[in-house]
Order: sequence, then structure tokens, then C-alpha cells
Amino acid sequence: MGLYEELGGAGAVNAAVDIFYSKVLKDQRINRFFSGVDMDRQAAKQKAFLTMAFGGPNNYTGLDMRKGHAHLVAQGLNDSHFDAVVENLGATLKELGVADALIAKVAAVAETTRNDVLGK
Amino acid sequence: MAKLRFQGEVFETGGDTVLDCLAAHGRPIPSGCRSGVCQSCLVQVVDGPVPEGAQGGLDEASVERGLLLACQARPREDLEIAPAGSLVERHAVRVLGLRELGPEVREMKLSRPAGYAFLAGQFLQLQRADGLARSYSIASDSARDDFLLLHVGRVPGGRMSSWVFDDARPGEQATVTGARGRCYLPSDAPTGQPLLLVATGTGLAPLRSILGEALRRGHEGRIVLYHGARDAGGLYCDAGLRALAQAHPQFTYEACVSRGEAPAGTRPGRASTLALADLPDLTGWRVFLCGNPAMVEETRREAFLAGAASSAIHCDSFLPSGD
Repeated sequence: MGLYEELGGAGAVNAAVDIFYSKVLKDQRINRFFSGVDMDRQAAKQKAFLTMAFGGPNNYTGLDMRKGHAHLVAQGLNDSHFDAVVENLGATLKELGVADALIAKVAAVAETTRNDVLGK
Repeated sequence: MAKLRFQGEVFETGGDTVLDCLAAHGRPIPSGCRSGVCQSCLVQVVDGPVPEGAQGGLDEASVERGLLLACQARPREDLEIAPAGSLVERHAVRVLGLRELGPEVREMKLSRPAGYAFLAGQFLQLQRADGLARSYSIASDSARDDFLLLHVGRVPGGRMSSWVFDDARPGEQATVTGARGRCYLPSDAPTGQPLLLVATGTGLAPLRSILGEALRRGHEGRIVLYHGARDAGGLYCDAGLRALAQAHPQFTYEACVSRGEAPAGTRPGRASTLALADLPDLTGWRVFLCGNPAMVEETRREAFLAGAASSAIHCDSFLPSGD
């Protein structure tokens, strides 16, 4: 069974979205990067990010990630912020009762996007 | 093989998705995850059947409008699409009547075009004969009323509101677009779910419609409405809402006055601040926020952090026009 199925697929993503987004908005290290005006579009992006991190269907290219985050990099987005996001992702999964081994796999998938997200 | 028609051009799809077909023919549209989740690639059906699976995850109103996820839409029959939101259906209407609701608010009654559908809480764009257009929420009852009611607030120097207040006459012609907006009471909203409605000024219009619809459906859960105005004169539905609160024990009306004197029966302060203070835990609630954009954005965030699901918070910001 793939990672996505093991986590619970789209249902798991839905359960995680609000929890993850709530943590991010409360995290003073990174909430300024998420304080965009349109919460609807933000929610859709969080969902897409979680789907990807859970090993689910996703066709974002490295270029998509670079272009999508370039304006945030210009505002100072760096490794420490990326780390904070992954930390919140782990905390979300822990809250949902996901096993540590699976959380590590999700973190590893997220990690593969670091250089593209940060424009390195 | 199915053909795809887009902005006057016709392409052979060759079994591809709408997104891939357009990209292959040098007409790329915005996209993101290309997996049906991020909704960056929305387009709208002009003609033809909706391909299976092309509306996954879209809300009721978007499905009704024929919006599609281009990355998921794989046409099996000829299909014509347009950029999302570019299609404007216009319907001819007549002004049926005008009346004062308060010192700064007028109700405009328009004829309802045959077959005109809307969900309680949605808005339309009203266009005058000379082309001036403004958006207004529909305050009437979709199931019961064969007319459309708009609440128009007087805007200092406002071109449309000046017309509504000073010059408009019954019998005049205008047009309206189809109903739009995502601030509506979903058809499958549980009737036992508590509802929080917060409005400033004429933001009350869509909430009045939603309140009416909820009561019509026999909503048993709590319904709490906070209407905020600068002074008591701005509480333009006060008597009607008090009567509803008397008639329906599950409904509570809180009249809030932010600057002027708060007479007996009203509360001093901002509607949103009072609502969040009275209801610190919004887990399980459905929340509707309409009116002042700053109030809507700030309260949306607070409601979310107070536990309301992001999918259960519906917003309608009343943004001023640029012209």
C-alpha cells in the first residue's frame, strides 16, 4: 500500500487541512507568509500541499513551486520558515494519531520540495 | 473525437484533458497541482455536457454555474468553455417599487425573470440602462417570492445609490446578472447545526435571505444574528428581526451600535467583537459574515481560530466600487 493510502487518502487530507492551517496561522514564525487576503484560495493551496506531502496525486513541477513562492522568498522566506512548516505538518499528523514512522515519510516527501520552494 | 471550443477557436482534444489540450495548442491557462485539488484551472461551460469528474470538490453554486476543473475535464463530446467568471448572463428586469427601510437604506423591488434561480445569500450585479453597474445581495425568499428585493445603502457621492434614492421610478428597465457568490446556505446544511450570522450595514441583506431560508427549512439549531451599525438609525430591520426572534425561540437577534448611543435593547460595540466574545468556541458552527471588508476578513480568521471549519465559514465582503 502506498503512503497516501496508508494515511487515509483524501479523507486524511480533509481531516488535516484545518488543523494544519490553524497551527500555521498561530505560529508567529511563519504566519505572516500565510496572511493573504483570500482564505478560500489559501485553503485550496493547503489542500494541494498536503495531498502532495501525503504522497497523493500531484503534478506540481519544480518550476511551479519556484514561481509560486518567489514573492515570499523576496519577503525573506528561508530554511527556518520551511522547517517551521514541516514541524507544523508533523504536529498535525501527531494530533491525528498518525504513527511516527509515517510522519517521517511525509516529512521526507515535503523535504524534496525545499530547494524549489526557496528558489535555491 | 471530441472538439473543444475556446474563445472562438476550435481544437481536437484527442482524448486529452481541457488543460492539456489548450496547452498543446498554444493557449495555456493558469494551473497549479494539475490533480484536481488546488482549483487554479477553473473554466466555465458555455455549451456541451459537463465531463465526468470535472467538478469534484466544487461547491454547489459553482457546480450550478457550470464551473469545471480543466485538469480533470476530459471531454467525450464537443464542449465549449470560457474563462471562469467571464460569462455574464443578463436578464431584463423592471423596477416594481422602492421604499425606505431606514434613513440610509432603501429597498428596491425588481421583477423576477422567469426561471431565475438563486441560493439564499447570493448576490447579483444590477446594471442601469446607461451601463452603470453595482452588485447587491438578494434579500428576498427564493422559494416564495416572485420578485427580487435589494437593500441599497446610501453611499455619499454614490452614483448608483443616488439613483436609487433620488431618481429611480417604478416601471424603469434595468438588467441583472445571474446570481453569484459563495455566501449561501448549502442545500445539505444540517438543520440542527448552530448558525452565526454577522453583518454590518446592508450586509444584512444576504443574511436576511439566509435566515428566512433556514427558518423555512425548519432549522432547529440555534441561529444567532448580530447586526452592527454606527448608530441606532442604521439598524434598519430592527422591528422585523425582533418579531422573528419572538416567533422563533431558536433565533436570537443582537442589535449592535458601534459609535452612537446604544438605546435600550441594543448593545454598544462592534457586531463582530460582541459575537466572538459571546461565542468563544465555534466548533461545529456555520458562520456567515457580510459587509465591511475589514470586519469580514478579520472575523473570518477569528472564527476559524475559534474552531469553525474553514468550509463552514461563508464570506461576502462589500467592496466599494472604483467608478
